[in-house]
Amino acid sequence: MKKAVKREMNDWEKELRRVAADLLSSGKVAVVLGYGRGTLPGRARPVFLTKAEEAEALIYNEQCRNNLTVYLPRLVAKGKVAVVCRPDDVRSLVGLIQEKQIEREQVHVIALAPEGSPPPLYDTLIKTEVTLENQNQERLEALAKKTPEERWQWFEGEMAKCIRCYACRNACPMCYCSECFVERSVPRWVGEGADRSDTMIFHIVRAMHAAGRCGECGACAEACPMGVDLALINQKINSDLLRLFAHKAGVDPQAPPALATFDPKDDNDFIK
Amino acid sequence: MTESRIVLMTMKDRILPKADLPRFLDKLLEGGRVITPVDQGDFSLYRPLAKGEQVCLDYIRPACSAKEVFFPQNETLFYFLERTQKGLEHPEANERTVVFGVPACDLRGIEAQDRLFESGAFQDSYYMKRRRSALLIGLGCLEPGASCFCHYFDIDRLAGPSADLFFVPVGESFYISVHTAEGERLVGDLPVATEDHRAALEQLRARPAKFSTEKVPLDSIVRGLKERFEDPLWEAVAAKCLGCAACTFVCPTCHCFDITDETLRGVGRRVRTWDSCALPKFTLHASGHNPRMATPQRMRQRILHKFSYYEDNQGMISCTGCGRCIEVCPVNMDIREILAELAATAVE
Repeated sequence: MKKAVKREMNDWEKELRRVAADLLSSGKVAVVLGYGRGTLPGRARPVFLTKAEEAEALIYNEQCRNNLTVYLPRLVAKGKVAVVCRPDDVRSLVGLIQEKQIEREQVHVIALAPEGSPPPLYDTLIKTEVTLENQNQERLEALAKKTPEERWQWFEGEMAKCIRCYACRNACPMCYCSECFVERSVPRWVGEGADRSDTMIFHIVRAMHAAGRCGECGACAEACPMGVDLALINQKINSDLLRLFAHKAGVDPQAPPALATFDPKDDNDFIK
Repeated sequence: MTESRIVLMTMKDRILPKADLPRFLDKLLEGGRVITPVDQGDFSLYRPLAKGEQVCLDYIRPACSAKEVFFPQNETLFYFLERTQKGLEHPEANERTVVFGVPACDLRGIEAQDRLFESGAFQDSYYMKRRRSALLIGLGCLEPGASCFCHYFDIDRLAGPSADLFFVPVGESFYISVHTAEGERLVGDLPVATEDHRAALEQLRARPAKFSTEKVPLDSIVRGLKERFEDPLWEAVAAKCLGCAACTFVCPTCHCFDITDETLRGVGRRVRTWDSCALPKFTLHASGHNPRMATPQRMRQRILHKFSYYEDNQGMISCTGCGRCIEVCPVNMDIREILAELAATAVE
């Protein structure tokens, strides 16, 4: 007798497949952007579905490590897109709408979230037991406790690992510039290759660009082939934004990014 | 080379107990630089070994290929004075280097690079200097990983004739095949392998390898590739590509580079840096035109370069099946699937 190797399907995957098949068969969306099984053990990967019967390929578990909203700006041109979002991915999506890279009407958001913590925006909400650990409060606090010298040492160590492949940048939904400053040759802002100071400039500028815009999904760190702790760098800067401007990226669709606003009534008490 | 090959006739295979490997490497260190896989936490990388430092053979292969030993990501070709344009001496001294622990897939990668930089139409003096001051010690691979597909290219994981020495872990020892006189000098004082050792090696060799994918008909893929330049397939396979350069930077054979001049306070340097067909600036002309404007065209370049142009220009396919590109891809693009797709849609 053939041994049953099929994994028992959980409720949220069943629901996800039903929702996706409905959206496609009713013609409400042209594409469903979700996660499917990868080719390596323990790896899920993005799948683009255009037919209802393909919905069976959808999965949702701890192996889903991409932020699928990264594909939205290029996909929405072809019709309405349903996108499977992990809780923090919705924050990137909010950011993309705020920054006018996509329009709210162009997407159908299928959000998966644990009970009791609905994301700020969704069209379909599916309850799941999957929890993702892309943020780490303890490590953030440990980093904040370091002296500037210790922090610099840590940063240098992380930078030494970088091979400048830009996987972090390209996996990031908020890095949507059509031409990144590192790729400009007239004028040339930063040297190419893995020279330490050039690498630092790239990462510092990227972190500053993402400050208050980063949804802390952790896709950059997941994408990094060399294990650079990018998520912690961005989390640290975001924590500074929260402290200084009481701003958290992507939670309020009405609130523009902190570093993109100016208020003449600001008491400017940071100027000493 | 010829001399080495003649000596080969009299060279005997050797045995090194695994426990004696650190001592063996320490001894090598006395003669110069030793580059080995060194643990980085979740993976290993080829790095210069410090005295007493542990070599790391726990992973199927280092996360980046051995190409960086001879063809570094950045290298200064020469310095010059900006005002007079006068060239200054190239600073790097080439010390004798032994690269230990190179799996057969990476040896194949080095062979591909040798053809381009050493025996092709142009000789690259920078590459050659490093390559010629280095000895290669290969390492047999007992168990292919989930991303490995070196069987597509008929690579023998337990042999590396292009290396000076080839180590195969057999039980508690390494079985050492000696291929050159230079290699022989490193192991001449080790015990000679016996018939029993050889039998154990053969037993290992007879064990079937478990690869996770079936071989594809490479010949027919390669034959048809050029006709598929305008194939809509490239659009489809590139749809998920994020356009980063991770696959090309970890690749043992990708060798495209860019040359730039950098000046600081009157002193300039000409730098050679890895380029990548995956990046938007690749083949961007000064006019602003780029013949490979979008990801599908860049993806096509990557596949055609490896499986068609390299075969034409250097007489070999420049993919070794090491699987690194599959592992590092943030969205798990799998070159094996692209090959399977090419095979399935091949027009004979």
